[in-house]
Amino acid sequence: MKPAVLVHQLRVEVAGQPLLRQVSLTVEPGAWCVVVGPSGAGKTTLLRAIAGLQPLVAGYIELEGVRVSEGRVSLVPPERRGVGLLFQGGGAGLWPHMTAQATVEFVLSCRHVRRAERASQALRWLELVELGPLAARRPGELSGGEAQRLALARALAAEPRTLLLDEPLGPLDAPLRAELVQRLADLRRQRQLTLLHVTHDPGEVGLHGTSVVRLDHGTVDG
Amino acid sequence: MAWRTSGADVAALDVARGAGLLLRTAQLGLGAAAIALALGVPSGWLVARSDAPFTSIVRPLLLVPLLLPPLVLAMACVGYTHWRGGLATAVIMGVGTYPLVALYTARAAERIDGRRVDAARLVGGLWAVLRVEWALVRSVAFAAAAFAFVFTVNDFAVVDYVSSLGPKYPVYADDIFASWRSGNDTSKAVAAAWPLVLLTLCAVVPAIVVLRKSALYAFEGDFRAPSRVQLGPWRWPLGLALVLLVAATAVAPLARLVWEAGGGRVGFQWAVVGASLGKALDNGRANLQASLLYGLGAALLCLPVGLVLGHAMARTRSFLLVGTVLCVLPLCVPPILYGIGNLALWNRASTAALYDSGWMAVVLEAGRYVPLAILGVAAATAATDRRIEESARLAGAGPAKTMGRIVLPALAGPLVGAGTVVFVFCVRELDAAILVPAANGTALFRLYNAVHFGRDEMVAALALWICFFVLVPGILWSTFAKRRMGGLP
Repeated sequence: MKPAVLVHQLRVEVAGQPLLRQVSLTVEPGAWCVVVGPSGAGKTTLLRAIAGLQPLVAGYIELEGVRVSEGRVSLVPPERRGVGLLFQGGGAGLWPHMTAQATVEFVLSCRHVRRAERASQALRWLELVELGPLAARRPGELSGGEAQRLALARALAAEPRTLLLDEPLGPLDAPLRAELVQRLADLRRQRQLTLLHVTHDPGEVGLHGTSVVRLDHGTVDG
Repeated sequence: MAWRTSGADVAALDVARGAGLLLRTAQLGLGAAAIALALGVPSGWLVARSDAPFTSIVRPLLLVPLLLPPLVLAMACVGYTHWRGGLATAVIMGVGTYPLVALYTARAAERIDGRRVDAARLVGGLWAVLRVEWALVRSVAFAAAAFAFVFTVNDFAVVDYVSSLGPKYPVYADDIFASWRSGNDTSKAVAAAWPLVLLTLCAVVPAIVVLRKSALYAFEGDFRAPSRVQLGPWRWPLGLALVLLVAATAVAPLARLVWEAGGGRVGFQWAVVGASLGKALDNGRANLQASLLYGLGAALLCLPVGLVLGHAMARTRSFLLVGTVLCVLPLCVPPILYGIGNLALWNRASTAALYDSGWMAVVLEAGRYVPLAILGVAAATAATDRRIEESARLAGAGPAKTMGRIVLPALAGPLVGAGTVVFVFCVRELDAAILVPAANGTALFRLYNAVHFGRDEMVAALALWICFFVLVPGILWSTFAKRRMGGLP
């Protein structure tokens, strides 16, 4: 079986400064891979590169055996890579002018779901993350945990095969952390999702991770 | 059969005529706002968010039509085309105000958190990015277009000049002027002006609410700047379209003036351009000096007022909206009415010394443009972390020390920007200056008089000097303010 994510000798620079140097990584389908590293290690950059949001300088990335980036060339645009991204910072990246319902409907419209079916499908996604009763609220009217769940629903509505998680537990308190971890574990099992989870907190490694990678100063340790 | 006209009939006729003029003025404003929106939104978005080429050059030049006095744009437009009346006025005012829409669109687009854009890109590519960004900037773009509408419906000098060359095209501001002129009656002018003031407020108040809201929510949390959108095969065509737009709206008016200063139809020569500029400087030196001095005086007067009131407004949320609306009033009432109000206020025995001096022009201009300083500082304050002041207060600094040592350095850039904007707008002030004798010595007033008696090399050269003095500080501000847009209310 081809790896869900294959990163080979990846190098990423911003303004001439290397953020990732010769990073290689393999994530098997259905795995929950945790990348641990201190702040500034290049964790977010790695996820953005896999999602196609950050240009590479060298190396290549394959998703399920399909080469999506090679050197400076992006071969597959971000929206066709089949990845979802849960951004760092709780509900950061949520669209402030859209209600929870409208946010998910927007994603469905991008997937060309028929207009008549969008409302019911959006509600199903929101119910999956237990946000059904809050469908009419905008991000500013949601708590940190609710906003995080909306971000999850938005990512899942695009039906990604791999979900990239950028410090997803950072802004949450202990009960909400446990709830989100359990939810992700259930989703992974039910939908055969591959999870690539980056964190600076070594305590998160033991939660559900099936493999662990340590990243420091733009390189993979060991 | 004899007809007798009663006072009621005359009043009814006046009401019908006034309503007709108001409708025509509103249509003119809507036309200009539509042009400003059509040109401003794409150009603002392209320079701020796309990877189109030439954007670093285009961005400061995009500001030129806004900085140029509308009368100069009118001179170019009637020189290049045979358009007159409403069409010419709408085009001139639309072109003169589209940079406002572009600036606000650019600022709003740059304040979208990068993660929001990335999320849209992941789910639907470029089309989804455009949909999300348009949804986030459109209210600000429409608010800026509302200001284009307001400036157009209150304008007097452009429509007056265009009418002097073609068929008469009366607008509502003419009516206010006529009401005042028939017996120098201020109350008649005020009574005539209120429908236009009401129309202005209907556009301005919602626009201010939108702009305030966008300025405040833009800096929430840990902001991530968005990366530029890749246009792919559209990159070069759209970059060239931007260059063409700047060439048509910024370079062409100046080129027309240079051509006229060099002899124009009689035969263009560069030597004549130099001679005309020299002659215009000799003849118009006193007027140019007056313009610059009044502008500088007004800007210096506005800065402390802007700092204190703008900061207080931003930090006192309950006063913010009311304060902003009150602030904007002198800027948005018809300039003709503002000039009449100044005459009524200052033209009396007790203030004769001020009224007869050049300070009257400074007071007139400062009063009209101090809102730009206040709103600029308020916007900059709202974007500054309140905790820097709170920690100073906790450390024992009093209000004055906090203002002088903490707030002032933090707002120095936007304050200089606001002062520059006030200076530029004062130098290009014409409508209110027409009525106040002390302000009749400005270069733009001299130009306004001169164009009504025909155009020659000297007139074009004087216009070029005025353009020079408004463009240099304006473009310097635009270049150095860059993304921070310091001083933009």
